[in-house]
Amino acid sequence: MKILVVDDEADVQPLFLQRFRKEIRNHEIEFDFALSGEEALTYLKDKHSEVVLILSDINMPGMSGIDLLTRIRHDYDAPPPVVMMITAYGDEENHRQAMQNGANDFLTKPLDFNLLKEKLKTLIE
Amino acid sequence: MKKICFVFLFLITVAAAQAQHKTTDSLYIALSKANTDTTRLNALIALSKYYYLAYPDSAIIFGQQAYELADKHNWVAGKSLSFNELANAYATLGDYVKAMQFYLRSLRISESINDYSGMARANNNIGATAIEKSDNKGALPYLRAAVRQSHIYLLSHPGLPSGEHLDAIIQENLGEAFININQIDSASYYLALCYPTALKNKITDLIGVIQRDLGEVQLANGNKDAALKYFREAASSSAAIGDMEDLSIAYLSMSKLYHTNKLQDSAEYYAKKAFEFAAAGKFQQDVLNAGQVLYSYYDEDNNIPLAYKYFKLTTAAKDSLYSQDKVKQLLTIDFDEKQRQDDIAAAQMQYRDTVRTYLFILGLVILLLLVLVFWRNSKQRQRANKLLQNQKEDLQGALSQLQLTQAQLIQSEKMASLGELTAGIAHEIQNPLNFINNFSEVTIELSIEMKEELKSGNTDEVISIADDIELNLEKIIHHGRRADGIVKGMLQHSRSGSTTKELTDLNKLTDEYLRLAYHGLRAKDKSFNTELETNYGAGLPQVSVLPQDIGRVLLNLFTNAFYAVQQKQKTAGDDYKPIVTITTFAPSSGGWGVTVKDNGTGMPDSIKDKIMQPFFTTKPTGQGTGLGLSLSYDIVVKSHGGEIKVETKDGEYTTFTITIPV
Repeated sequence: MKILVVDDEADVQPLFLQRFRKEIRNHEIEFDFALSGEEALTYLKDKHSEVVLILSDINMPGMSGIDLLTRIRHDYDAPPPVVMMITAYGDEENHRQAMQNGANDFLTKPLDFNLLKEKLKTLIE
Repeated sequence: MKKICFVFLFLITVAAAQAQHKTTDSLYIALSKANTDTTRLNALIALSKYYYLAYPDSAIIFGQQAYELADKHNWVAGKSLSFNELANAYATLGDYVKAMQFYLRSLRISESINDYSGMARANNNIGATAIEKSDNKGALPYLRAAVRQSHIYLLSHPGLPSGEHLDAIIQENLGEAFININQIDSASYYLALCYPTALKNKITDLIGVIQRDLGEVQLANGNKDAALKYFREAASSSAAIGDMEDLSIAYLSMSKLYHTNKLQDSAEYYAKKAFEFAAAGKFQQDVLNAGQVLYSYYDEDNNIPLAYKYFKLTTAAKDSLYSQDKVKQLLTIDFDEKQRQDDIAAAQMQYRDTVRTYLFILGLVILLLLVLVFWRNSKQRQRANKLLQNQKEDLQGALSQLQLTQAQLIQSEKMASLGELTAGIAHEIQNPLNFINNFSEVTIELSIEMKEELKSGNTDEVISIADDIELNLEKIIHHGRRADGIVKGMLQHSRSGSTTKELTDLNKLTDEYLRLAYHGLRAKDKSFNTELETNYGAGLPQVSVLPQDIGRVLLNLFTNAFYAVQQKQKTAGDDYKPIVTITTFAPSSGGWGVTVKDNGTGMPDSIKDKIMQPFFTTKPTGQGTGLGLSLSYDIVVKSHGGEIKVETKDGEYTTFTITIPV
């Protein structure tokens, strides 16, 4: 299962790779990363068929996570990828916007990786 | 002595002036031809003058007529002249009481109209009358007054014949008075003055008198021949003009001279002649004088009948002249006159005193006024000073209040920007903390895994895990420092007052504050988003600045840029793509520079000029202090010697450029 992580913080990359160390080693999950919404869209142009899940930060300079979600829902519907939004601001407004724009789930920072893993399991199954 | 009858002062015509030297007929003709009251008055006075010595009765009648005429028209000078003629006539008659009354009336009238020739005339005539009464010392004050007045008159009419005539008469009378009191030098002096004048101006009625007095002077000096020569000339001069009185006096002088020369016949002959002319002219004083001389001659000769005859005639004349009543009246007049003079003097004194008093009071009043003015001025100045003092205190109070308020405002601006930062700061701290937590957790997992791999002797895997642990710990340290830096920056930002300048990596500072500003705004407004384009110039020097101050400037520029694009986003269509571009560079003059460009609302020129002013803001009330750019200007330009420039186009973009020298 290929997962695209979109976050302007570069350090999320080693974090994800280590957190999902076992899953990666067992080839259960494969990660790709984008540092902005724009980069994510470019990536998706070629590989949208490979990606099953998109994890995106909302607060990024330039294109926000919500924008990215909107574009994805607009451009890619067959099959529609699962999009989970992550934000440091776990407030109602962000949540409402994310859900309204077609997010499948809404996670808040700091990320509870165990919870995330649970969610991924149910997704795979 | 000589009386002044006519001085050509009043309404006199040449014809009338000449008239006095002509015959009675011509005077009567002048009177009958007089077709105006002025010429008539002149003619009447001329007639009175003509008659006063020979026919004083007639002179009195003409004088009265002249007075009535002058009174009818209220011609003051004419009245004065009339009184003078009347006085002369009464004096001739020996009625000195009436004469004095009229002279004094004439004098007062002249005084009242400041007629100096009139005053001189009256005083002279009074003096002359006194001489006639043998009161020579009494005559002197009047004559001296007359001389003064005549000189005053001559000063204003220099060379006037009538004035010189007046002067000559007074001088002659003074000469005679001095002879009579035996002051020959003084007499000689005055006679020497008037004789040439009389000859020059052909004052015929004066020449004889002067000649006789000159003779008296010669006689007193013992020059009998010279004296006799003058007496003869005097007699001839007086006879030539029919002046019987002076002829009589001249003869009497001659008689006395012959008598001292023991020429009894001649002495008797001239004394008799003197008596006859005196008696014919009713000149009582001269009758008396001549009679006494004859009486003494006959008494010396023991010619009892003749001596007795002249004694009786003398006594009769004396009675007529000095009856007891007349003496009494005369004394009264003298007394009255003295009283009047005293009154005048007292009045003058009082007037002078009054004037002095008034002047003193005036001076006092002026002084008081000055004091008042000065007092008021000083009072006003005091008041003004006090007012100024109060105003100064008020202003100083207001100033310190303003300074306090300004300080508070600056602080509140700092706090406001801090508020803007808080959310950003929370986000910025939350992120590294999350990393620290996550990396720590994952490191613990890795450690557990590493132990398992060690047990199974999987060395390659152990080394790989150890590499990850090392990387994680570096990440933990990095994010720990990141959070630390943010907290320090926050503390610095809120701290008031400036610390010392320090070499600062402004690119890093810019990045820090950009993130703070961005996340701060995002935290407040979730819908806000903008593209951030950062071009940090490579190899820029570190610059010595006050980091928290420059941070505040940057923060301000960023929030302004975000605000501008946010505002435009509200109105522009979906196509609008907000972009904020931050570029740092090395200015040509050295140091460090940054441009913050946004494609937001921009500004019209009218606003552009005002944005650096304190309290100017385009934000709605309560949302901006209006001090942001003003403080930025102070920090960049005043504290760091740098520049702050703005370029903008309304509705399109705004670019702020800041340069800070090394």
